[in-house]
Amino acid sequence: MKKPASNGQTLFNLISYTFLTLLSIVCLAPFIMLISGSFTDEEAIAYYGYSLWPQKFSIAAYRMLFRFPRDIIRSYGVSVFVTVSGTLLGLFIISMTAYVIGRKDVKYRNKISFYFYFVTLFNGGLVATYIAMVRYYNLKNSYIALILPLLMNAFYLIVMRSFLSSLPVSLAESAKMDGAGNFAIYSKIILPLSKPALATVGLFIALDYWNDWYNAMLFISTPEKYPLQYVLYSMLSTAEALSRISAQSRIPIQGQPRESIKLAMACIATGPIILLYPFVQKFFIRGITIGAVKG
Amino acid sequence: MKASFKTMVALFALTAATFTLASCGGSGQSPSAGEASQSQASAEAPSASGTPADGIDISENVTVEWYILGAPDPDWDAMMAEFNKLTNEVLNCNVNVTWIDFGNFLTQYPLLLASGENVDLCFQAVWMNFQSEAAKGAFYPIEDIAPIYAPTAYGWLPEEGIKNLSVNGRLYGLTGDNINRELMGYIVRGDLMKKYGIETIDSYKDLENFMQAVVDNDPQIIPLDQGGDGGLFIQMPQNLGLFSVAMYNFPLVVNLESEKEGEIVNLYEFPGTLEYFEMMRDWCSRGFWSKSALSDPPSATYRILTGEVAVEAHSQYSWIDRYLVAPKEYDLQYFPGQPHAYMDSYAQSVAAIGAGSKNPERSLMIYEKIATDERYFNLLHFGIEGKNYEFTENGELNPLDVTLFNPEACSFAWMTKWKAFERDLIGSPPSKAAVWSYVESIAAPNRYKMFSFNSEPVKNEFAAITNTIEEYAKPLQVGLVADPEAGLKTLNEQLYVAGLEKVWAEMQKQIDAYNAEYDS
Amino acid sequence: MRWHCKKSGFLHEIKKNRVLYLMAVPGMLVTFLMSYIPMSGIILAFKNYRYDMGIFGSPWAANFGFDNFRFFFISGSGFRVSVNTILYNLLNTAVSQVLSITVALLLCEMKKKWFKRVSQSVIFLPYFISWTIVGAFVYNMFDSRKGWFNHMLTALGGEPVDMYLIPWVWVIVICFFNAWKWVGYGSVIYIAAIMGIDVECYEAANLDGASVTQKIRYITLPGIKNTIVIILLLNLGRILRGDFQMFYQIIGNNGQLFRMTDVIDTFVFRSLINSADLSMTAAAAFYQSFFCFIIIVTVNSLIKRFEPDYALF
Repeated sequence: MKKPASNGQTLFNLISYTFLTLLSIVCLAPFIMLISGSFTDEEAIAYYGYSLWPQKFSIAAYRMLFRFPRDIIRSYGVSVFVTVSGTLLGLFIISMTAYVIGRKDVKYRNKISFYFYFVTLFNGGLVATYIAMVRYYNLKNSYIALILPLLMNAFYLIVMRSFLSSLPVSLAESAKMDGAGNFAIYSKIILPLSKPALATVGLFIALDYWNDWYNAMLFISTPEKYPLQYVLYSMLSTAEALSRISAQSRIPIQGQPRESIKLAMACIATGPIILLYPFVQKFFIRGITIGAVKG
Repeated sequence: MKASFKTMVALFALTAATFTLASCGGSGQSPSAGEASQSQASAEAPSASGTPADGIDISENVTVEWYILGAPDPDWDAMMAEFNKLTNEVLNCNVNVTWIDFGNFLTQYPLLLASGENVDLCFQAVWMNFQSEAAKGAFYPIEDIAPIYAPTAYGWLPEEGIKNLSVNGRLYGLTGDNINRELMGYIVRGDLMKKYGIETIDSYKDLENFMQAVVDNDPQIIPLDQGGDGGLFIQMPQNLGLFSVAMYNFPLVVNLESEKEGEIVNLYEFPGTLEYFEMMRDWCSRGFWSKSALSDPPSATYRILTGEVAVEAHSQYSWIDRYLVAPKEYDLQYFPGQPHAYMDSYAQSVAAIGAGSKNPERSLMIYEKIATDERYFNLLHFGIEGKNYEFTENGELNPLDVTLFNPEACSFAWMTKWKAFERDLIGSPPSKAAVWSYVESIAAPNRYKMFSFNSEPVKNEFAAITNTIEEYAKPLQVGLVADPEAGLKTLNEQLYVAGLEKVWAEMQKQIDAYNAEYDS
Repeated sequence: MRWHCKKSGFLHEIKKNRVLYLMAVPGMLVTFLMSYIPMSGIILAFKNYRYDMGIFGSPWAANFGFDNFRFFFISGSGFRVSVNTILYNLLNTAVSQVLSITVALLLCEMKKKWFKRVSQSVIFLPYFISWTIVGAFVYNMFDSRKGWFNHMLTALGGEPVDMYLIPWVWVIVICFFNAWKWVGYGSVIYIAAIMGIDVECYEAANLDGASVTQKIRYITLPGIKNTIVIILLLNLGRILRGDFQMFYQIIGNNGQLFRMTDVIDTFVFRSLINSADLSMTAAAAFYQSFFCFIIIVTVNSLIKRFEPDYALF
């Protein structure tokens, strides 16, 4: 069915295409500079800075990084493992909890919400957290120390609750009448219906796990268990700290990472998680096309 | 509202319960340093008095945990395997090294020490707050056990060294006998000097001429590296006869030339400071360094190595370091920029034992071995012979591949520097001997190198001043303030608001006490 | 439907909805272990922490335990950086949320599928660029020697400008990069919210011949109002916290810009860099927590009175 577009529609299209195109350029350009920089000769970066196309092409940074490919590949493995298991578990717990605190017939739902929200306001700080994790739970150098701290997130919980609350109430009511238990309603009806919400929150959780270097810094002490982002982070932070330390300690220190390697590391770390994005996108697109076809 | 008040009450009750839980665990597991050493002393008493040092009981095979600042070189594990072979044979123990990143030590070290983990040996330094951490009970006191288990490593320490490494009368660390005598100066591109016909850089005037020549002839090169932290300013107080006993740009310094021993003065009110800042303003406006110097991101590599800058203000040790890796045609030269060369503090690089250590004796025994047995020393410092290094005929060290094992690249090496085993690196600059003998010729004693200011009693003012320096002093240091006189006035006003007088009084008190003890 | 029961005691409620409460237990347990147990650390803010005495054995700080807070207010900087932090958060939240909502609205109305997919992915890219690298980009842009911003200015016949001497420029720079980094992320939330709107509403509107703008105004915006309010509230709960990495990497140690770019987190970091005092760090964190708590509890109770559906808790 072809409808002649109205004037308003044309104007709207014009504005939105222009706006989104401009925004895309602004977002894409630095990313291209990042990739180009990672393929640029070190001295060329020092002289010309970043550019959209390598001033002087070089793969030295990648060659340097992959000189010991085992370390990189191993840290990839750690990151993938932690991200996948953490995301699945976290998504399950968060969506289940969100469902409970979103149900109007749960009397203490607000108190439970507050219980979760309170920890975003107050936290015990580094020392107490560290002592709890290392001394009480004995989680030093364990993968669990990478998964547990990010498992619950009040922000996602509340966003999830607001998503779930927009589902038609009638669904749950009718299922209840059919004699389904609360857990069955959650798993058989609510979950399949809230794919965009699950995809969104799942994406956020996955990104958190993938980008997390902090917990690795605190709790992981053997390099074999370092996730990728921590390997990257420690290279960056070391360069930064060294310039500070050398002024205080006056110790001559060598062996610092270089500019192009820094960028190459960023490319390597970003690559795989970007692939996740189109996969998540599917859930958004599908919803919309169904609506459009029907319309 | 009422409901959420109840919730809050419940939450606080919960938290209180947690307090109790945590306190049980907390106090139960970390004995205070004092207690530890008492029980230690009584346990060791029979063996110490009854048998000589070689009768020490090492029948139990243990693994000692060492915490080292830095990142391991690729061949580190292979070296460590060799090292552990030695320690296993002789001392019946293994060393397990955990690396702490340079980027994270400010976070990780206090956590490790605060949580009372089993830290058998760790690297410490003045700039890592060794003294204040010790005062908080982070370390294991070793004055009783060090003479028994590490007689050489302990024995060489003179009285002032022991004092320097002690806090409240208890010894908390050891260090090697090869202590730097650092002299800040200028590391300069020799090829450019030749090009401009400049022979030496002996004064600010010479430096100025050289930098002007760079601006005139090679505009693509930045004359001076003022970025990052420090730059030229590190040398400034000493040239006015002052000496910094806190951070390099901390306002309170000792006036060495004062008639009154140990007089504390405010660097930023001292005659000559304004002239210095005015000179910096002049130099900055003439393009001697980048106007965005303060925002320069931490340089990924030293700018002088990539040809970006022509002068770097740093020490003779840095010069050797840069020289070895810089392109040979740069012909890097070093010119001293300070009148006196003082010996570093003994606490510049320290081996300390954590309060939660399970094997302090065995750790000290290994530390002793590194000081007395060249096999241990060479492994740790240079790697495996034939694979990582070889000695030339005249005994110079030839590292075979610094990317696999870089001698002295980590704090492991810094805290175990022994004169007897040090080697010259092959390819050192020809003028090294001349520079070294010059440094010896201007060597001077300086008791305040051993003084460490304890900021704890005035920690709030100290923090406020630290912040004020960052905000108001740094722009002056690199000449970014258009009117240095007004800028300096503002800086001083802010310093007094931040509580300078209180810190001043405290520091004077500590210095006087230090002097009284030193002279007695 | 639901029937009302006279018995409304705690036990009865638990018993009635036991499966539901049971379903909340795993999340509560994780939060208890990860967050509530370590909460004893808050007390450090009021102590002079000594490692060998433990958190509870350490002596209390002077001035009734409040001594550790003094550095924050001593020179009047504490007030200044608190105001800065609040203003930055308001500005950044407003700009980035408006942008995110706009992008989400436009994307959902797009007809060209490939354009939608590509632009949505591309807009998400900045999220992956760490602040460290953003900092390097910014420096590259504004560096007085080789920065391309000045190259452009001179090429256009203007005079080179030294951005590092003009504080107000950096307010714009920070706001821009914050929005730039988060727009993709933020729009995903709103897109998901729009997807949750009942398609029948749109179908009915189409039958009535509603225009795009009308559909946005009368269906989409009301449909995501809940999400907007929630996001704003969540941001409000962090109003005294600054994104340390963003400010630190972009501004660095440039004292001349601090007056307009200093936030609590950078100020505390800078003040304590030479002493690494755990108690003072805890004190600063407590200050932030306490005022965030007051603000959010007040706002939430107001909302609860007028629009209970939008309350956070």
